[in-house]
Amino acid sequence: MRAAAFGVALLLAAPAFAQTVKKPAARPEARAESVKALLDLARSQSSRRAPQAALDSLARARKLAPNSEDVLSAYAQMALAVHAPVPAILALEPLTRMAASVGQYHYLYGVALMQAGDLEAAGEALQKAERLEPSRVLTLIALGLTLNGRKLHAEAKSHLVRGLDLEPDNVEATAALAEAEEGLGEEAAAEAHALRALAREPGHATGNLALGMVRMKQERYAEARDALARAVAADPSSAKGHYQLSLAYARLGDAASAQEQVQLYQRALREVEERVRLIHGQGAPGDGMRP
Amino acid sequence: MNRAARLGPLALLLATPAVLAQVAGGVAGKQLFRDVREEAGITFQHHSAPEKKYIVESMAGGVALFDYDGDGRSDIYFVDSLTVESAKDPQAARSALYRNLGGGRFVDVTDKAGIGHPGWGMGVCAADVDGDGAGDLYVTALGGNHFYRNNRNGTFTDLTERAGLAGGGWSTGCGFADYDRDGHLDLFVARYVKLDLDNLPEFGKGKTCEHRGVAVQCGPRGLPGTSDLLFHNDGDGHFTEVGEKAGVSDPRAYFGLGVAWFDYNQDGWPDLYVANDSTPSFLYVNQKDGTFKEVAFPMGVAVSEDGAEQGGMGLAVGDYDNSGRISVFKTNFAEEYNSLFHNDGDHFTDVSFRSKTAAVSMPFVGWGAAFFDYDNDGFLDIIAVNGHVYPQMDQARLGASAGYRQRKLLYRNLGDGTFEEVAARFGPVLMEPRVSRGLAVGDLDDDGRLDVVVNDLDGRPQVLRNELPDAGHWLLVKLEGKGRNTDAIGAVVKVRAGALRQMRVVQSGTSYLSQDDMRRHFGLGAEQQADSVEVLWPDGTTTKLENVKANQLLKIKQR
Repeated sequence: MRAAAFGVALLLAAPAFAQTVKKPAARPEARAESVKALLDLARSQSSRRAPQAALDSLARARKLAPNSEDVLSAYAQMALAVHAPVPAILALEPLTRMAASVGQYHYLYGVALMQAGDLEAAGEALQKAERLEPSRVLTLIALGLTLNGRKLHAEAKSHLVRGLDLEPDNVEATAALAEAEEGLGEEAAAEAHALRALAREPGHATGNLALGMVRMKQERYAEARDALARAVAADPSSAKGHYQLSLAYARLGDAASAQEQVQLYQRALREVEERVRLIHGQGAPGDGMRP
Repeated sequence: MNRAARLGPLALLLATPAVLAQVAGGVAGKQLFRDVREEAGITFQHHSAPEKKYIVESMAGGVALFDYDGDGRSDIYFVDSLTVESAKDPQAARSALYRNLGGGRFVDVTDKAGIGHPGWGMGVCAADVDGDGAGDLYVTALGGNHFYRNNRNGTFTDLTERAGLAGGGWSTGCGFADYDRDGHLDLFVARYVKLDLDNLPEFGKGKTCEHRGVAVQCGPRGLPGTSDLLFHNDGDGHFTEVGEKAGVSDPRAYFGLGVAWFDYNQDGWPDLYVANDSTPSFLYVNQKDGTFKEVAFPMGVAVSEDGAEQGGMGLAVGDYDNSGRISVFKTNFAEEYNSLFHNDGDHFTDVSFRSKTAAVSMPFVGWGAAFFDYDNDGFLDIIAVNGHVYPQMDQARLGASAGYRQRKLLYRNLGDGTFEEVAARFGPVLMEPRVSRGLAVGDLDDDGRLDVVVNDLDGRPQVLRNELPDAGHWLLVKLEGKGRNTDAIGAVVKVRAGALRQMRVVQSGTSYLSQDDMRRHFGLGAEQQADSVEVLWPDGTTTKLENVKANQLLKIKQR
């Protein structure tokens, strides 16, 4: 899922976890000390680029303070950073109810659902975030990506154009706009925006995917293969990337590589399905998938 | 050449708003189709359980247009279905054959024909299987299919057992083709889900039995799929099932529905496309040795362009851009978009969004579909009928999906590789929300304008007479093949008229579980004649006629 790569980008773009986590509110002394210690430890682990260890620390903090807004928020962000959307969703879902007016939680919830592959639920969460905090660039980009994933390219484009109006050099928005334009059949604009994003970040997953799709339609298959290979290298969980790369190989007569990509695509697809199933099994909102 | 180019500079001079509206496909309220079912005397009613608690109660409703009595007019056969409650009483459902009397009138001849009770009917395909010049009928069903041989006296005989064509299980789409080119028509049958009526999955119980927060029927995901069948015609009235040997048995047991035989690579051998529900679709390329190779993934027609496995239902194949290649249109589940796969020669490209057919289809669950030139301008348009599988949708959070009853889609071909969805321009007959399934296209009144017949789930059908006043010139081509394949199934007809180059394929089984009129229709626009009509017969021989006058039924017999 391309959203996996996007989630990381967002977290990096957002204020660092270490700075965003507030100090725990006053609580009974022994327990507060322990939760605080674990949050401090997680902060330190995160700054030393040991996110999995930080997540483990936060999981321990959750056991001590399962309803703490600070702990849940920190845990969810760290889970997203290690591409674990399902635990993030399970932390964010109660958070969006506990603090229903905090746009950031709905935004993170939407990003987590997008990472998991539940695009419709992601869209709903992001719409709430947009209502609570209008015209936030990251929310507009995430909405654009979600709508692209649902093939609602015209709606995606309008959000992304708004995002770029606010932040013209945003690479995520530029690349996602390229994808929307490609979906709308606006190949020249898609190509221009993809190239613009890639000039800033040559390995960008969505930028390369959009460029690869354009090259496929232009029947420039070798260039499509190269762009799509960069796309799946940046985001190995992208089912669309692997599928399109399989087609590029097939057009180039490389049946073995095409078959290999089909298998990777199918694995990515099953992983998304499994995540969505897991979310639904845990009581999170359902998507529009047919049983 | 696109429409604007064909009109030339004069068109620009005349391009007042009113003229532009006409050229663009009609002004609001202009009559295209009129539902003449009632005045035609068609009283058929399809049956299903109102709540559709089981998937088998949501999927049926094929319709066939074929000339059973050899009078030259297209007759209509509607398939009816049982319900779980009435499953043990085959008389509870009555499929119906209507004889076309001409003059817009039909008469129910089912009882005399003896084809009213094929059990839990699903779909239908037609062909003159025994080569006696009369159209036989194959009806797919849950629990055993039926092969009805036409006795050429208004009656049919059920030869299912003798022919070895029962199949069993839950059969859906079907189609005849001479895949091994031995002169005898073979039969492919898609099958859907393995279902035990005595042990049905309980409504609303389990994760695969809810949709958007409401309890619904279970499946197809979560239920076991089942294999497909290929019956080889042994030439002596008997068929042998060879699906596994031929490589088309679907060992992964995907959920098979729509079937289309067509020679996508133009090597003279019939290939096969199968629309699977909720799983990748199949494209089988004919290996010319009695076997097939499944190539849907490398060919780009297995899944959506995102790699999403779609709920494939109905199929239409046609040369919509007059490129000389046959492309594929596939209807899918809601929020998936209808797929248009353009045939690029050695592969297909998903042009659904580029062609502007996809976005408008997103809310709908699509079923029957056809490429057809409704305005006779020389470019194939598309019709698709819709309707959800869950009546409970009307109580559900709809999201991007439409409710249970849904309107139709009519895509007008703009001649430049794109389409415009124009159903709303032609009044309520296409916009009325219904729960449609099978669709078949043919010229019921031989006026050169294609009519459409739709079988609705649990309701009355529609007989949509094409009354477009300013349709272009036309040709209707009826082929008669030599040997046993008298329908010339698999033949390709090419028509050249002015700048127009068109081709059509003669097919058995198409759309969603349905059968089109096998006469091939060509819109000629302003051309008063076809410069040439060329037939590529299934055996590889050709027939070519030149300077053929427009507006006639042209019968071509293979020598």
